[in-house]
Amino acid sequence: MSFLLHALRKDLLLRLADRTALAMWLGIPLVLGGLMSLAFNGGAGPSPKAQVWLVDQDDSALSQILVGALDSPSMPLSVELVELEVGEARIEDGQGSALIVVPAGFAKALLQETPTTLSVVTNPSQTILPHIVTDLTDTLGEVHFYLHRIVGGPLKKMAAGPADQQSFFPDPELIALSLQVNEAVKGLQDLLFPPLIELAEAPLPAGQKQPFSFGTMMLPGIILMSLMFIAQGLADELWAERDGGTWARLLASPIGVGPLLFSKLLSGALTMGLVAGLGLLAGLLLFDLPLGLLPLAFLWSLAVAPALLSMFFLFGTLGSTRRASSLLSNVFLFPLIMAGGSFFPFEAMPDFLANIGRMTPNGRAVAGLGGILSGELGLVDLLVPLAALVAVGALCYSLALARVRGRFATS
Amino acid sequence: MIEVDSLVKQYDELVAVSELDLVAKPGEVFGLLGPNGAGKSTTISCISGLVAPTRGTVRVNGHDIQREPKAAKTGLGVVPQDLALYEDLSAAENVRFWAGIHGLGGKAAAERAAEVLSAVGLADRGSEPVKNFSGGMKRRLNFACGIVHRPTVLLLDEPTVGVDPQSRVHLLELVAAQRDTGTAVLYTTHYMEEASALCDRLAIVDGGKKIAEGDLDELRRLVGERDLVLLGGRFEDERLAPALAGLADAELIQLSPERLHLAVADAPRRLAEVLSLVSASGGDVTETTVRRADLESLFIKLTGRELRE
Repeated sequence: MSFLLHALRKDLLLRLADRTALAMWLGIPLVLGGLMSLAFNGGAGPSPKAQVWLVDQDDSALSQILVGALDSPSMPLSVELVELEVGEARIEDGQGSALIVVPAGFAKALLQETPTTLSVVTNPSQTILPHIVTDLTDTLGEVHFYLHRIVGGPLKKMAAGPADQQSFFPDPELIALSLQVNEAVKGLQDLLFPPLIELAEAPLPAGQKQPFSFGTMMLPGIILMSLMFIAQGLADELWAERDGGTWARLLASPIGVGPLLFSKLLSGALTMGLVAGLGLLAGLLLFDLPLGLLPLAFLWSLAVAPALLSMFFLFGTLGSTRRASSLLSNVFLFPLIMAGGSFFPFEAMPDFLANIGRMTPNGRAVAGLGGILSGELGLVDLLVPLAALVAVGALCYSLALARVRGRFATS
Repeated sequence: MIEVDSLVKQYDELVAVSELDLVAKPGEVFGLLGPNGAGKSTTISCISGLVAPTRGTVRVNGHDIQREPKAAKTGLGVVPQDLALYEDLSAAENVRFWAGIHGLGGKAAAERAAEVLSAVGLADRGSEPVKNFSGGMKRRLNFACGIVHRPTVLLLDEPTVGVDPQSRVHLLELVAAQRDTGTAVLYTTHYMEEASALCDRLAIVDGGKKIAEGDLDELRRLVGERDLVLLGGRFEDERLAPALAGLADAELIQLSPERLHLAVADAPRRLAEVLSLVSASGGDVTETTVRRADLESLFIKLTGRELRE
């Protein structure tokens, strides 16, 4: 027991002394969590809008409606009415995304379906925003075309004005035009006005599972990925002790190989638990995880750490050299991480791959942690997956111990 | 006490140690003297339980290292040839850790750590990380870690390799001090001067075999009163061997086309006579060395090779 305490102290002191590695280990979940947070919450700011200089040479009711429509909040444009010279000068100067010129007679040409030109001058120094402007103006052309296919007759009559040169249409003619438009629109009602889908928000009934969140979906994978990387690094410490001669000196002491490896397992699990705890705290801040679930999540992370570490003790001592063992470790590490729900959440995987991934030790750990954080799994639900992980860990530990007892220590 | 009986260690075709017997008693330094690759470190590994012997037995303080490893290793201290330290920890942390491994804890460990650090001249550097130390300081700390638990048997595997002269003298004094406390010390080296100065008894090993054993006087008697004359150049066996047979109070040790080793009484005064004889017999001498009778000359006499070859 005294030996275990001394070995634990020594390993923890060594890890504290290697500040770069410690910072990297602690930083992995924070960095990955931060990146995920940015990726999924990054749309909160204002969307970029294309600055458009618009010259209204028509100055008609229809051209003013066009300006208002383009400048509405739902459009990706910010429109400012300017004189032609000013607009041209600004585009020439590299300001704004595009200059639109509405020519005189534009409204009449629209109504009569006669040719007219809506000039669009784009800023060549920009790439995306000018395209948005040209796409919108192209769309306007198409809307105009189809509008005339539907209600072209009434529009042309309205553009021509009253037949007897009076200021107003006679009532019967106006009613006939209205009925024509009404009938045309009624015939296209299903196409033009599909049934609306209404979204309503309501609190979940008591006892129902937590709503979906990116935090609960991604955070378990991130934390387990960190733990896997750390386990690989800790397994390499066996080689560091061996190459540094301290392993042989320890073996010449009354302490056997078993306690030596066990002390490594304990100190490693503590380190991994610390990192998992920090990862969960980061999740609390970044993803608003429920505070009440964190203790169980932390205990789960601490419980699965020895199994993962044992796995890497085995991978890390399989090779006959440090380099070969490192390569072998990586051969196992990356497929396990990818299939085990750390690179891609199980929800985003094909079913067959997700099922395989959930069978891997780290996949089980991810699923367990995800279940805890989403409120789906409680302590009792975790006992079976934990037993499976402990069994895998014990098997790996036994094989690693046999390997270390063999030629690893002295060859 | 260390008792090694008919020790054999074989790696596939390579016999690293062959039928080695030795006994290191309490209060004595037993030296294993031999060139690199002679099997000294393998012997230490077998005694410390790191390597299982192919045949033979090793007993430490009466306990078989293979059958009762825990009991055998309890009183064992090892100072390996390669440094076995945690470079990121301080000197004091290193010593305290090795003390803890052997069951010393708390205040006792701290006091003992301070004591051995003082003994190896590192008392004022105890809080510094080992990675900042010079090679000699690391060697002394390596030694301190091996004796912190007051072992009754101490294995020292070439502890002075790569050490500056000042640190070497210091280390040899420390080893002698351990002997004086009653510790049985097994000391491997390929430095003849160290073996002569430090060891109470010696075994000379080569190619895994013990080729001579005894205290310094016994080994010197094996060399005899004759000095060694080592000649390099080109030599013809057919003409030279009969001529040398006529040389008074001399013995041919080795004759090859490039090398001629002779044991000659009063060699410094008779060197001209030897060179003249060799020259007259068609030999072409390009290199001449005369060695007084010592362990090095004994090694050459027994193996035909120099210790550092």
